[in-house]
Amino acid sequence: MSAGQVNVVAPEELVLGRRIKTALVALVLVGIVWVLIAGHFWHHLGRITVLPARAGDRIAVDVSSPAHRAGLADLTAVVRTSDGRTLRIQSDVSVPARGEAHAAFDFAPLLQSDEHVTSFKVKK
Amino acid sequence: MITTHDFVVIWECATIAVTLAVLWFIVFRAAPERRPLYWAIFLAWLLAGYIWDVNINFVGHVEYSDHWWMMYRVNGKAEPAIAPFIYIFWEVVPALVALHYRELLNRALGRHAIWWILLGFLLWSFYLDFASTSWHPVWAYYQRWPYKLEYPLTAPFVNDFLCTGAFFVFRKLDDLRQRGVQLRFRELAVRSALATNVTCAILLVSIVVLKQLPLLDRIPIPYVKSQY
Repeated sequence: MSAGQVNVVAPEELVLGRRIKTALVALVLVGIVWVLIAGHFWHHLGRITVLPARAGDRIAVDVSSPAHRAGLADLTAVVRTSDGRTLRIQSDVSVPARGEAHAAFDFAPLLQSDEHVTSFKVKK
Repeated sequence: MITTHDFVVIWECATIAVTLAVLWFIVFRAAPERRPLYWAIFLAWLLAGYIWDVNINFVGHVEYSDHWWMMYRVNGKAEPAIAPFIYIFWEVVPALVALHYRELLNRALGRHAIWWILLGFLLWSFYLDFASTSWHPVWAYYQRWPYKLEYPLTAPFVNDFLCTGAFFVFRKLDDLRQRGVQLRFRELAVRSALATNVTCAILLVSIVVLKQLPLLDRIPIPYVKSQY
Protein backbone atom coordinates (compact mmCIF):
# COMPACT_ATOMS: atom_id res chain seq x y z
CA MET A 1 0.00 0.00 0.00
CA SER A 2 1.47 3.33 -0.98
CA ALA A 3 1.68 6.29 1.38
CA GLY A 4 -1.48 8.32 1.60
CA GLN A 5 -3.66 5.55 0.19
CA VAL A 6 -6.87 5.05 2.10
CA ASN A 7 -7.18 1.48 3.26
CA VAL A 8 -10.79 0.45 3.62
CA VAL A 9 -11.22 -2.64 5.72
CA ALA A 10 -14.54 -4.40 6.06
CA PRO A 11 -15.59 -5.26 9.63
CA GLU A 12 -15.63 -8.98 8.87
CA GLU A 13 -12.05 -8.72 7.65
CA LEU A 14 -11.04 -7.08 10.90
CA VAL A 15 -12.68 -9.95 12.76
CA LEU A 16 -10.86 -12.43 10.53
CA GLY A 17 -7.56 -10.69 11.20
CA ARG A 18 -8.13 -10.77 14.93
CA ARG A 19 -8.96 -14.47 14.78
CA ILE A 20 -5.85 -15.24 12.78
CA LYS A 21 -3.67 -13.32 15.23
CA THR A 22 -5.31 -14.98 18.22
CA ALA A 23 -4.82 -18.42 16.66
CA LEU A 24 -1.16 -17.75 15.91
CA VAL A 25 -0.44 -16.48 19.42
CA ALA A 26 -2.34 -19.41 20.93
CA LEU A 27 -0.31 -21.86 18.84
CA VAL A 28 2.92 -20.23 19.99
CA LEU A 29 1.86 -20.57 23.64
CA VAL A 30 0.80 -24.19 23.15
CA GLY A 31 4.13 -24.85 21.47
CA ILE A 32 6.08 -23.36 24.36
CA VAL A 33 4.21 -25.51 26.87
CA TRP A 34 4.67 -28.53 24.61
CA VAL A 35 8.42 -28.00 24.34
CA LEU A 36 8.76 -27.45 28.08
CA ILE A 37 6.94 -30.68 28.85
CA ALA A 38 8.82 -32.62 26.17
CA GLY A 39 12.10 -31.19 27.43
CA HIS A 40 11.29 -32.30 30.93
CA PHE A 41 10.84 -35.89 29.78
CA TRP A 42 13.62 -35.79 27.19
CA HIS A 43 16.04 -37.89 29.23
CA HIS A 44 13.40 -40.57 29.77
CA LEU A 45 13.09 -41.23 26.09
CA GLY A 46 14.91 -44.24 24.76
CA ARG A 47 17.75 -42.98 22.66
CA ILE A 48 17.05 -45.15 19.68
CA THR A 49 14.07 -46.17 17.66
CA VAL A 50 15.20 -47.25 14.24
CA LEU A 51 12.34 -49.63 13.81
CA PRO A 52 11.24 -52.07 12.67
CA ALA A 53 14.40 -54.02 13.22
CA ARG A 54 14.43 -57.59 12.01
CA ALA A 55 16.44 -60.68 12.71
CA GLY A 56 19.95 -60.01 11.52
CA ASP A 57 19.89 -56.33 12.41
CA ARG A 58 22.17 -54.75 14.91
CA ILE A 59 21.01 -51.55 16.53
CA ALA A 60 23.63 -49.08 17.58
CA VAL A 61 22.53 -46.69 20.27
CA ASP A 62 23.88 -43.31 21.25
CA VAL A 63 24.42 -43.65 24.97
CA SER A 64 26.23 -40.38 25.51
CA SER A 65 23.61 -38.83 27.72
CA PRO A 66 24.34 -38.44 31.43
CA ALA A 67 21.37 -40.64 32.23
CA HIS A 68 23.01 -43.56 30.46
CA ARG A 69 26.47 -42.77 31.62
CA ALA A 70 26.29 -42.74 35.37
CA GLY A 71 28.24 -45.73 36.58
CA LEU A 72 27.31 -48.00 33.74
CA ALA A 73 29.18 -51.07 32.69
CA ASP A 74 26.86 -52.84 30.30
CA LEU A 75 23.50 -51.86 29.01
CA THR A 76 20.40 -53.91 28.59
CA ALA A 77 17.73 -53.21 26.03
CA VAL A 78 14.18 -54.26 26.70
CA VAL A 79 12.59 -55.16 23.43
CA ARG A 80 9.04 -56.01 22.48
CA THR A 81 8.45 -57.95 19.33
CA SER A 82 5.62 -58.32 16.86
CA ASP A 83 4.90 -61.74 18.34
CA GLY A 84 4.28 -60.16 21.72
CA ARG A 85 7.46 -61.41 23.29
CA THR A 86 9.58 -59.31 25.63
CA LEU A 87 13.31 -59.83 25.25
CA ARG A 88 16.28 -58.52 27.13
CA ILE A 89 19.41 -57.97 25.09
CA GLN A 90 22.82 -57.15 26.48
CA SER A 91 24.90 -54.57 24.63
CA ASP A 92 28.27 -55.51 23.24
CA VAL A 93 30.26 -52.63 24.71
CA SER A 94 30.57 -50.89 28.00
CA VAL A 95 30.00 -47.18 28.22
CA PRO A 96 33.05 -44.98 28.78
CA ALA A 97 32.99 -42.37 31.51
CA ARG A 98 33.26 -39.53 29.02
CA GLY A 99 33.12 -38.87 25.31
CA GLU A 100 30.71 -40.19 22.76
CA ALA A 101 29.58 -43.75 23.09
CA HIS A 102 27.75 -46.31 21.09
CA ALA A 103 26.28 -49.47 22.43
CA ALA A 104 25.31 -52.07 19.88
CA PHE A 105 22.56 -54.59 20.34
CA ASP A 106 22.54 -57.77 18.34
CA PHE A 107 19.12 -59.14 17.48
CA ALA A 108 20.19 -61.96 15.24
CA PRO A 109 20.03 -64.87 17.70
CA LEU A 110 16.77 -63.77 19.28
CA LEU A 111 14.26 -63.01 16.56
CA GLN A 112 12.39 -65.38 14.33
CA SER A 113 12.68 -64.67 10.63
CA ASP A 114 9.14 -63.30 10.42
CA GLU A 115 9.30 -61.40 13.68
CA HIS A 116 10.30 -57.77 14.12
CA VAL A 117 10.89 -55.36 16.95
CA THR A 118 8.02 -53.06 17.82
CA SER A 119 9.53 -51.22 20.75
CA PHE A 120 12.98 -50.78 22.09
CA LYS A 121 14.13 -49.20 25.32
CA VAL A 122 17.60 -49.02 26.80
CA LYS A 123 17.68 -49.73 30.52
CA LYS A 124 20.34 -48.79 32.99
CA MET B 1 -1.58 -54.00 11.69
CA ILE B 2 -0.13 -51.41 9.36
CA THR B 3 2.97 -52.70 7.66
CA THR B 4 6.01 -50.85 6.42
CA HIS B 5 4.84 -51.26 2.86
CA ASP B 6 1.44 -49.83 3.81
CA PHE B 7 3.15 -46.80 5.28
CA VAL B 8 5.17 -46.21 2.15
CA VAL B 9 2.10 -46.55 -0.07
CA ILE B 10 0.12 -44.15 2.12
CA TRP B 11 2.99 -41.69 2.07
CA GLU B 12 3.30 -41.85 -1.69
CA CYS B 13 -0.45 -41.54 -2.26
CA ALA B 14 -0.67 -38.57 0.12
CA THR B 15 2.22 -36.84 -1.58
CA ILE B 16 0.77 -37.34 -5.03
CA ALA B 17 -2.67 -36.24 -3.82
CA VAL B 18 -1.27 -32.99 -2.43
CA THR B 19 0.62 -32.37 -5.65
CA LEU B 20 -2.51 -32.97 -7.71
CA ALA B 21 -4.48 -30.66 -5.43
CA VAL B 22 -1.93 -27.90 -5.98
CA LEU B 23 -2.04 -28.45 -9.74
CA TRP B 24 -5.83 -28.31 -9.63
CA PHE B 25 -5.67 -25.08 -7.67
CA ILE B 26 -3.27 -23.45 -10.10
CA VAL B 27 -5.25 -24.50 -13.16
CA PHE B 28 -8.80 -23.94 -11.94
CA ARG B 29 -8.82 -21.66 -8.92
CA ALA B 30 -5.87 -19.29 -9.10
CA ALA B 31 -6.32 -15.73 -10.27
CA PRO B 32 -5.27 -15.72 -13.95
CA GLU B 33 -2.84 -12.83 -13.48
CA ARG B 34 -0.96 -14.78 -10.82
CA ARG B 35 -1.07 -18.15 -12.51
CA PRO B 36 2.31 -17.87 -14.27
CA LEU B 37 3.95 -16.99 -10.96
CA TYR B 38 2.35 -20.01 -9.31
CA TRP B 39 3.63 -22.30 -12.06
CA ALA B 40 7.07 -20.79 -11.62
CA ILE B 41 6.96 -21.37 -7.86
CA PHE B 42 5.80 -24.94 -8.38
CA LEU B 43 8.60 -25.75 -10.81
CA ALA B 44 11.21 -23.87 -8.79
CA TRP B 45 10.50 -25.78 -5.60
CA LEU B 46 10.39 -29.09 -7.38
CA LEU B 47 13.77 -28.46 -8.95
CA ALA B 48 15.30 -27.08 -5.76
CA GLY B 49 13.79 -29.94 -3.77
CA TYR B 50 15.47 -32.56 -5.92
CA ILE B 51 18.81 -30.79 -5.84
CA TRP B 52 18.56 -30.17 -2.11
CA ASP B 53 17.66 -33.77 -1.36
CA VAL B 54 20.44 -35.21 -3.45
CA ASN B 55 22.96 -32.79 -1.95
CA ILE B 56 21.93 -33.21 1.64
CA ASN B 57 21.55 -36.97 1.56
CA PHE B 58 23.96 -38.27 -1.02
CA VAL B 59 26.58 -35.64 -1.85
CA GLY B 60 27.13 -33.69 1.35
CA HIS B 61 26.38 -36.73 3.49
CA VAL B 62 24.93 -34.40 6.03
CA GLU B 63 22.99 -36.56 8.37
CA TYR B 64 20.15 -34.13 8.33
CA SER B 65 16.81 -35.69 8.96
CA ASP B 66 14.62 -35.62 5.98
CA HIS B 67 11.68 -37.38 4.47
CA TRP B 68 14.13 -39.44 2.46
CA TRP B 69 15.55 -40.62 5.75
CA MET B 70 12.06 -41.33 6.98
CA MET B 71 11.48 -43.42 3.88
CA TYR B 72 14.71 -45.19 4.54
CA ARG B 73 13.71 -45.78 8.09
CA VAL B 74 10.44 -47.46 7.29
CA ASN B 75 11.39 -48.98 3.99
CA GLY B 76 14.95 -50.10 4.55
CA LYS B 77 16.03 -48.21 1.44
CA ALA B 78 15.70 -44.68 0.16
CA GLU B 79 13.71 -45.81 -2.78
CA PRO B 80 10.82 -43.46 -3.48
CA ALA B 81 11.91 -41.10 -6.22
CA ILE B 82 8.95 -38.92 -5.45
CA ALA B 83 10.35 -37.99 -2.05
CA PRO B 84 11.10 -34.36 -3.06
CA PHE B 85 7.44 -33.93 -4.00
CA ILE B 86 6.98 -33.25 -0.31
CA TYR B 87 8.32 -29.75 -0.99
CA ILE B 88 5.10 -29.09 -2.87
CA PHE B 89 3.39 -29.55 0.46
CA TRP B 90 6.05 -27.96 2.65
CA GLU B 91 6.97 -24.88 0.66
CA VAL B 92 4.63 -24.38 -2.31
CA VAL B 93 1.38 -24.65 -0.38
CA PRO B 94 2.19 -21.93 2.18
CA ALA B 95 3.60 -19.65 -0.53
CA LEU B 96 0.49 -20.05 -2.68
CA VAL B 97 -1.83 -19.50 0.27
CA ALA B 98 0.00 -16.34 1.30
CA LEU B 99 0.00 -14.99 -2.25
CA HIS B 100 -3.55 -16.05 -3.13
CA TYR B 101 -4.92 -14.27 -0.05
CA ARG B 102 -2.33 -11.53 -0.11
CA GLU B 103 -4.70 -8.56 -0.33
CA LEU B 104 -7.15 -10.03 2.15
CA LEU B 105 -4.38 -10.80 4.65
CA ASN B 106 -2.90 -7.33 4.21
CA ARG B 107 -6.24 -5.73 5.00
CA ALA B 108 -7.16 -8.09 7.82
CA LEU B 109 -3.81 -8.24 9.59
CA GLY B 110 -3.01 -4.55 9.24
CA ARG B 111 0.35 -2.84 9.14
CA HIS B 112 2.38 -5.79 10.44
CA ALA B 113 0.76 -8.35 8.14
CA ILE B 114 4.04 -9.69 6.81
CA TRP B 115 5.27 -10.47 10.32
CA TRP B 116 2.11 -12.39 11.11
CA ILE B 117 2.48 -14.28 7.85
CA LEU B 118 6.08 -15.15 8.69
CA LEU B 119 4.97 -16.33 12.12
CA GLY B 120 2.44 -18.50 10.29
CA PHE B 121 5.25 -19.98 8.19
CA LEU B 122 7.22 -20.73 11.31
CA LEU B 123 4.29 -22.48 12.94
CA TRP B 124 3.63 -24.35 9.72
CA SER B 125 7.21 -25.63 9.86
CA PHE B 126 6.75 -26.71 13.46
CA TYR B 127 3.54 -28.43 12.51
CA LEU B 128 5.31 -30.34 9.78
CA ASP B 129 8.08 -31.47 12.06
CA PHE B 130 6.03 -32.35 15.10
CA ALA B 131 2.37 -32.82 14.55
CA SER B 132 2.38 -34.27 11.07
CA THR B 133 4.14 -37.35 12.27
CA SER B 134 3.33 -39.27 15.39
CA TRP B 135 5.45 -38.71 18.46
CA HIS B 136 7.46 -41.85 18.20
CA PRO B 137 9.12 -41.27 14.81
CA VAL B 138 9.71 -37.63 15.68
CA TRP B 139 12.02 -38.48 18.54
CA ALA B 140 13.89 -40.99 16.44
CA TYR B 141 14.06 -38.47 13.66
CA TYR B 142 15.87 -35.89 15.75
CA GLN B 143 18.47 -38.33 16.93
CA ARG B 144 20.01 -37.90 13.51
CA TRP B 145 20.45 -34.19 13.98
CA PRO B 146 24.18 -33.67 13.63
CA TYR B 147 24.76 -30.90 16.10
CA LYS B 148 24.89 -30.53 19.83
CA LEU B 149 22.15 -28.01 19.32
CA GLU B 150 20.08 -30.94 18.28
CA TYR B 151 17.19 -30.25 20.55
CA PRO B 152 14.18 -30.50 18.31
CA LEU B 153 13.75 -26.79 17.95
CA THR B 154 16.30 -26.64 15.16
CA ALA B 155 14.81 -28.45 12.20
CA PRO B 156 11.61 -26.40 11.99
CA PHE B 157 13.73 -23.29 11.65
CA VAL B 158 15.56 -24.89 8.76
CA ASN B 159 12.29 -25.44 6.96
CA ASP B 160 11.15 -21.97 7.93
CA PHE B 161 14.29 -20.49 6.40
CA LEU B 162 13.54 -22.26 3.13
CA CYS B 163 9.92 -21.26 3.22
CA THR B 164 10.52 -17.61 4.07
CA GLY B 165 13.67 -16.90 2.09
CA ALA B 166 12.16 -17.89 -1.22
CA PHE B 167 8.79 -16.37 -0.38
CA PHE B 168 10.28 -12.88 -0.25
CA VAL B 169 11.39 -13.26 -3.86
CA PHE B 170 7.99 -14.62 -4.92
CA ARG B 171 6.36 -11.65 -3.22
CA LYS B 172 8.71 -9.27 -4.98
CA LEU B 173 7.79 -10.82 -8.32
CA ASP B 174 4.14 -10.27 -7.45
CA ASP B 175 4.94 -6.65 -6.54
CA LEU B 176 6.51 -6.17 -9.95
CA ARG B 177 3.41 -7.54 -11.64
CA GLN B 178 1.21 -5.21 -9.60
CA ARG B 179 3.34 -2.28 -10.69
CA GLY B 180 2.77 -3.24 -14.30
CA VAL B 181 6.15 -4.75 -15.07
CA GLN B 182 5.70 -7.32 -17.79
CA LEU B 183 7.61 -10.46 -16.86
CA ARG B 184 7.60 -13.39 -19.22
CA PHE B 185 7.12 -16.86 -17.81
CA ARG B 186 10.73 -17.72 -18.51
CA GLU B 187 11.87 -14.78 -16.36
CA LEU B 188 9.50 -15.73 -13.59
CA ALA B 189 10.70 -19.33 -13.67
CA VAL B 190 14.38 -18.37 -13.69
CA ARG B 191 14.02 -15.87 -10.84
CA SER B 192 11.92 -18.26 -8.77
CA ALA B 193 14.35 -21.11 -9.38
CA LEU B 194 17.22 -18.84 -8.38
CA ALA B 195 15.36 -17.89 -5.21
CA THR B 196 14.71 -21.45 -4.12
CA ASN B 197 18.11 -22.79 -5.11
CA VAL B 198 20.08 -19.92 -3.60
CA THR B 199 18.10 -20.32 -0.37
CA CYS B 200 18.85 -24.02 -0.34
CA ALA B 201 22.50 -23.40 -1.17
CA ILE B 202 22.92 -20.93 1.70
CA LEU B 203 21.39 -23.42 4.05
CA LEU B 204 23.38 -26.37 2.74
CA VAL B 205 26.67 -24.48 2.99
CA SER B 206 25.83 -23.28 6.48
CA ILE B 207 25.02 -26.82 7.58
CA VAL B 208 28.17 -28.25 6.03
CA VAL B 209 30.31 -25.50 7.54
CA LEU B 210 28.69 -25.78 10.95
CA LYS B 211 29.27 -29.50 10.81
CA GLN B 212 33.02 -28.90 10.63
CA LEU B 213 33.16 -26.57 13.62
CA PRO B 214 34.63 -28.24 16.69
CA LEU B 215 32.15 -26.33 18.81
CA LEU B 216 29.37 -28.33 17.29
CA ASP B 217 30.47 -31.91 17.77
CA ARG B 218 28.42 -34.29 15.80
CA ILE B 219 26.26 -36.67 17.67
CA PRO B 220 26.77 -40.31 16.75
CA ILE B 221 23.95 -41.48 14.62
CA PRO B 222 22.05 -44.59 15.52
CA TYR B 223 21.57 -46.90 12.64
CA VAL B 224 20.39 -50.32 11.69
CA LYS B 225 23.09 -52.22 9.95
CA SER B 226 22.59 -55.61 8.48
CA GLN B 227 25.16 -58.17 9.38
CA TYR B 228 24.88 -59.80 6.02
